[in-house]
Amino acid sequence: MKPQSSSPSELRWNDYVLAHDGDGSIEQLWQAAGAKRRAVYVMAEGFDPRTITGLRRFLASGTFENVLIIAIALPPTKHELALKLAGENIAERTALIAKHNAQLVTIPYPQVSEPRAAGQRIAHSVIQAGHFKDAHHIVLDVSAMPTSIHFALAGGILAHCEKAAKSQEIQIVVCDNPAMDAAITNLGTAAADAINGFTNGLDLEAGSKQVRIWAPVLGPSEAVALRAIRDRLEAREICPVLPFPAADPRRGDDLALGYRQLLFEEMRVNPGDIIYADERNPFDLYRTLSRLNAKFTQTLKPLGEVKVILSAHSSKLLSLGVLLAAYEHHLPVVSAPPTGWSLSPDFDREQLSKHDQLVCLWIDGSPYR
Amino acid sequence: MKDDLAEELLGKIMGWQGPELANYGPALQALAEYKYDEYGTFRPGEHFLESLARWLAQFATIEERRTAFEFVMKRLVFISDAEIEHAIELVYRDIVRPLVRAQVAAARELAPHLVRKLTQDPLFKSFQRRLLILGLSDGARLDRLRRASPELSHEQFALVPTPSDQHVKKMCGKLEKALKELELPGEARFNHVLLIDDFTGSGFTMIREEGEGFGGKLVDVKKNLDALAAKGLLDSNVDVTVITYVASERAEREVVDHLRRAGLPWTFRTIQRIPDASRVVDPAMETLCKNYYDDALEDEHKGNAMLGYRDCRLPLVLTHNTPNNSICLLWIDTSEMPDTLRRHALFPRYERHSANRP
Amino acid sequence: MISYQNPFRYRASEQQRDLRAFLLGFGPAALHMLPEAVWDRLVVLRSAPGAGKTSLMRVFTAESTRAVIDDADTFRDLKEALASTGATEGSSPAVLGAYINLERDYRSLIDISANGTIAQRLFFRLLDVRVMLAFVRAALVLSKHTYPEDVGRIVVRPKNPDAAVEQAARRLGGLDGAAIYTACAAAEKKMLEMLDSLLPVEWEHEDGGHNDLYSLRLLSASELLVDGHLLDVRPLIMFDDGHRLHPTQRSALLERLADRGLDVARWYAERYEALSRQDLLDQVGKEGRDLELVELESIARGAASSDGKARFSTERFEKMLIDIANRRAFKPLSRSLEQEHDFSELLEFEEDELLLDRDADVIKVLREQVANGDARYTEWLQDAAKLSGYEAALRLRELDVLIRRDRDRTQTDMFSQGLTVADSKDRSSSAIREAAALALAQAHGLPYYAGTDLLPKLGSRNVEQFLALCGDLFAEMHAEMTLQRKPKVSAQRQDRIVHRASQRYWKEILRRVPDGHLVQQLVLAIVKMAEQDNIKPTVPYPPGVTGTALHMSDRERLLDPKVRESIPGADQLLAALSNAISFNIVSAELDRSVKNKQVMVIYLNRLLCPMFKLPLGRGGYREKKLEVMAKWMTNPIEGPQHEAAEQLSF
Repeated sequence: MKPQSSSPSELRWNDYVLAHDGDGSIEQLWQAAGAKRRAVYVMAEGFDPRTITGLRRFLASGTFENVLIIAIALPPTKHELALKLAGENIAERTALIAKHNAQLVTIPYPQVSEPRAAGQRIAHSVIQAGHFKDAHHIVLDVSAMPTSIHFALAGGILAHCEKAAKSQEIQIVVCDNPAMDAAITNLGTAAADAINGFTNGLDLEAGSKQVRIWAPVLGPSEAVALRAIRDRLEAREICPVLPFPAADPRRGDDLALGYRQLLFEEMRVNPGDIIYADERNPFDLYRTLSRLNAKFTQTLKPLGEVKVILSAHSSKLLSLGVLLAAYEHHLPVVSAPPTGWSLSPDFDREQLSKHDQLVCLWIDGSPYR
Repeated sequence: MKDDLAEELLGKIMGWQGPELANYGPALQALAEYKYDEYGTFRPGEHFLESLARWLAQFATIEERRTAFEFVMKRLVFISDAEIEHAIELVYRDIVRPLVRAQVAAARELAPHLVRKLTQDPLFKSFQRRLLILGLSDGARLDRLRRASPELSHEQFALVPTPSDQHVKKMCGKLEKALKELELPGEARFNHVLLIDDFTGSGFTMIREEGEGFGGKLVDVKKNLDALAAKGLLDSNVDVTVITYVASERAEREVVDHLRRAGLPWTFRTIQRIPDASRVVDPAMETLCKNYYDDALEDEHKGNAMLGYRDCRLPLVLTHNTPNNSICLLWIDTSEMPDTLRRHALFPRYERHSANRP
Repeated sequence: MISYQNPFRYRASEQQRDLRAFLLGFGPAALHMLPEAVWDRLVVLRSAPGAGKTSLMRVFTAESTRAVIDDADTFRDLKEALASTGATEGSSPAVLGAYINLERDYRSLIDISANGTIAQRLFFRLLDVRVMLAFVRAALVLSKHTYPEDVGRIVVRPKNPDAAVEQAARRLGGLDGAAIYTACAAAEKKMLEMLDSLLPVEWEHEDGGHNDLYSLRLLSASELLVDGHLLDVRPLIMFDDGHRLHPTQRSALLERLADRGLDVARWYAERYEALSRQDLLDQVGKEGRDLELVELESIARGAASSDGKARFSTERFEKMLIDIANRRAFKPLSRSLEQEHDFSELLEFEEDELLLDRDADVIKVLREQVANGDARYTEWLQDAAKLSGYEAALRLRELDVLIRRDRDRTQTDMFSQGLTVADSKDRSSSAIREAAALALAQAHGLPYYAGTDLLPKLGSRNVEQFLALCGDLFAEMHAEMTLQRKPKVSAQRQDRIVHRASQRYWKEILRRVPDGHLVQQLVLAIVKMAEQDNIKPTVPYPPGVTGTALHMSDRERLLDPKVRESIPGADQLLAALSNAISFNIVSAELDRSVKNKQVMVIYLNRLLCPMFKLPLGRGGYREKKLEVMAKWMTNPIEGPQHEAAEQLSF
């Protein structure tokens, strides 16, 4: 295990590179990382209109050499509207590939008996196939990826590049769009368990005396998943993370009130244990979680092994903060993912896409050397 | 008052029976214990539920009480101490460090994304040390900002917005010593000023049009900075950044606009914006404000505060005090003032300037 | 922790701190659901989630038996119940219970390699090291030592020299506690790290897997010494959540656990799934000889087990639920009321309360409805006239059914003689009375779903579901106490609370259950079918239809992918039914004999009944052909309109 960081200045991403849409700086980051170099753009192949937003912008942003697009197929669906939307995404991708003279590799969705292992399998197969070998610039677009896939992929890419010790640039792109999130309703809830690749010693029988601290990053409509994880973990302390600052300053309170029974009665959360993270900045969440981990591992040491366990119930953007903290400190990440989804009947791709906000995190490479 | 007694009282005031109380009671208790009990100007031993009961009781009809209650449950924005603490932590990490890095990048002609290279450059430490941080008001809580910014020195904070030249001269002396000790490049004068405040509701106090020109705190600061620069204590082209922990969207807009029109190339940053969408525009709530307004606190400077001074209509309470830009029902408390309507505020405001304390 | 606490909403965790809370809230009667022979053969426990199998196992862990024995005054009933199973003897533990959860990591092993043999060997290896670690830990807990600091105090000693046992010990690190701990912890860590690797791993090069459960062999043939003294206890290894294993892992494990040669108690629990091949335990062993099958729901309803005896009954189960609720609420109620009060007592009411002080009106309407001048029923009506209040209303409503039935029956045989009161008693039944009570409530807008008789039924044989409902009831008691009133919850309020809970349960299906929309579709179809019969005033299937049934041969066909291909809607039906059963939205009872055939009976979860105005009694179901049920899934039915929210809800 890597040593636990205690003060923020020792954190890997204490200084970070993050760009939000609006000031053109995302394009600048892409150029700074990979102009005239070989790039690999990893994306999902699904119905979500956000699938294609990043690629469209990326290819238009400048002069990359030999862009290789790795498209990760998602589990098949029979949903008619979804098939139509996915078809539109593929058609646009094909046109973009032709226009920008890029290459395409499609990775089929793996046959797994445990869906949470899918991301790990995909990461292994992409790495084994050598797709990252000659790439200078790797962009992982997680916009349309389920959590279990993007966690393992991002972790796999980071681990691979660290091991290969080549000077590669790694960026994560996410298309944030709360309106789109709201138009896609999650259905069903799978059993709660750790995401493969981020189990990080959660259930070591040898460590069954471990003191568990659970930090769920809260978002709306997740009561069923939160209960499932609560039952699975049986944590000693629960430190929910609420968004602050947030675009809507009531958001944290609304979440706390909405989950009142769950948080204060069923889980007996101490209000003083609630922690905050900037809704727009995954690096702040990363710092907050890192600090939480350092605090508990130090103070509770006399009680035995301490495990801070994370789960993301918020926006995809914020989930990246969970990813970074879990990767750096080897923390388990648990999920109880939806087993399906439905689109609201008046799903209007064009209307909803107007709220797309691209965010780019530069997580490895020249900024950190 | 004990919570269960306050709850019983609330039940009576709101006309709740068991079922309603079973729904609202735990929610109110949770809100109280999660945040609202910590409000700074409650009297010792006084709790939110008690204040809420008193507040609701003053409304004549059950409909009015319901309107007021629903506002509390759905619209009120209460920024707690823990939230302010988090906002303060973000100032150094997410505003100051990137600002200093940008200065280094410009000086060294390096790409701004090379964060490690930039922060390891001796210039980074130098520029960081040459920041001068001024508190625009008591609310700036520079002590806490200092603690949350371990890489800054105590000697670069001044609690007042317009420190005297002797004061700054002394600080420059310490700066010179520090640069020497740390073997850092650069002149022993400040090259970047941060102006810190906790909150601005309308921006009026910060900067406003006055006659031909501009007035307000920032204008005073500007005059003082010019004087300091003339004495060689600041760079002549010193960068200035105004940072508030909380600001209304309107204030942000107006401050930025006024700064531009006043020819000040300063930047304005805030951690938590209270968006225009949060403003109280619900007609029922507006009527309630009108009907229960007490003008006893009005004076010629500030005018009518029915919907908050300068018609800001904020639903906002800050843990240590309620801004006077919030709607009157939240903060105007004349319950103990003779010859008034004796209104109870939900979160009584402590007035810095009061007619009773000239 | 905030100061308002609802004793039904907090789930005690497995941590030591909460163990007492867990044990205090446990209903000891549940232990009587276990068969007698639980120590010498495999015991397979099955139930829907929340029915209490995990709690049942937890009571037998070393932590629990230790706590119960050490604080016998507090846990007197539980101690007696444990002793009756043989888990304790006097004030000593007789069983060393170790708990293993099968949902952890095992299933992922299937995905690591195309080679099934490797996956299986690693599965047994991981299970083995975890069994040993859990066993060592349990031994230390039971002997009041600390884990892992004191592992060195433990020695496993083979009863007889045996090469196979020695080999098993070698595989698991040896016979010394410290050595076992070190070897097993290291093996576990290494396997999990490989399993969790973000980078590709070569499992094919891994040696260390094996194809048997060595741990059970070793423990079977050995004694346990702590500090050199014999610890005279029977090891009990409890495997929970077996449904999370891959089917090949599950059958491989069961096969080994069923081995009668093992001298270790072993329990295996899994979620009840009536629509998988789970029921086929034949290849594992013979029920009653090689293994005991304990289906908690079936025991709860009083079904006989392999020895032909019924260990439990519906009444007893419902009493147990009330007992658990009273235990949970005891402390907070006594504290607030400053005297001892049972939770259930606060839910009791006089029957007449159900009429909401509208006795006169209701009875008048009923009399007019029933009175028809037919002399044949004069005696019945005269008898009913002697009654008053709710009793009268219910009797009149019941007579309405009986008279309609009689008329249907005697149409061809009119003007026969008058009927006696005895006739009416013969022709009635508790099921008809239940139907009458529900119809009475519905026609007159009266409360129905209330009282300590009906509330446990709404738990649908599920402890968790029942306790959640109690939580809603308690919230209202708490509010009444705040208002300085006696925390009695009126029949009307109980009925409202139940309706709200019912609607919430319905709405949550979408997010809680995979293919929730199909499950809802299935429920709506059953309800629609039920309504067609229940609307008939003669109540042909008292107390009313609340379920359906599928011929067992149709069930076989449903499980056959080839058959499903040819029937539109069959795939959706299988998805809907199997998820509905797994999540207890419906209950399924296999092999029920009716009129010379075997059917699978499917009942709606009782908590769904209030929102669809259905009775709680089980009895009425209509059998349907597979083709008919499949068609349900292809014709969407409009969902129910929810009552407007009563209030802002937090």
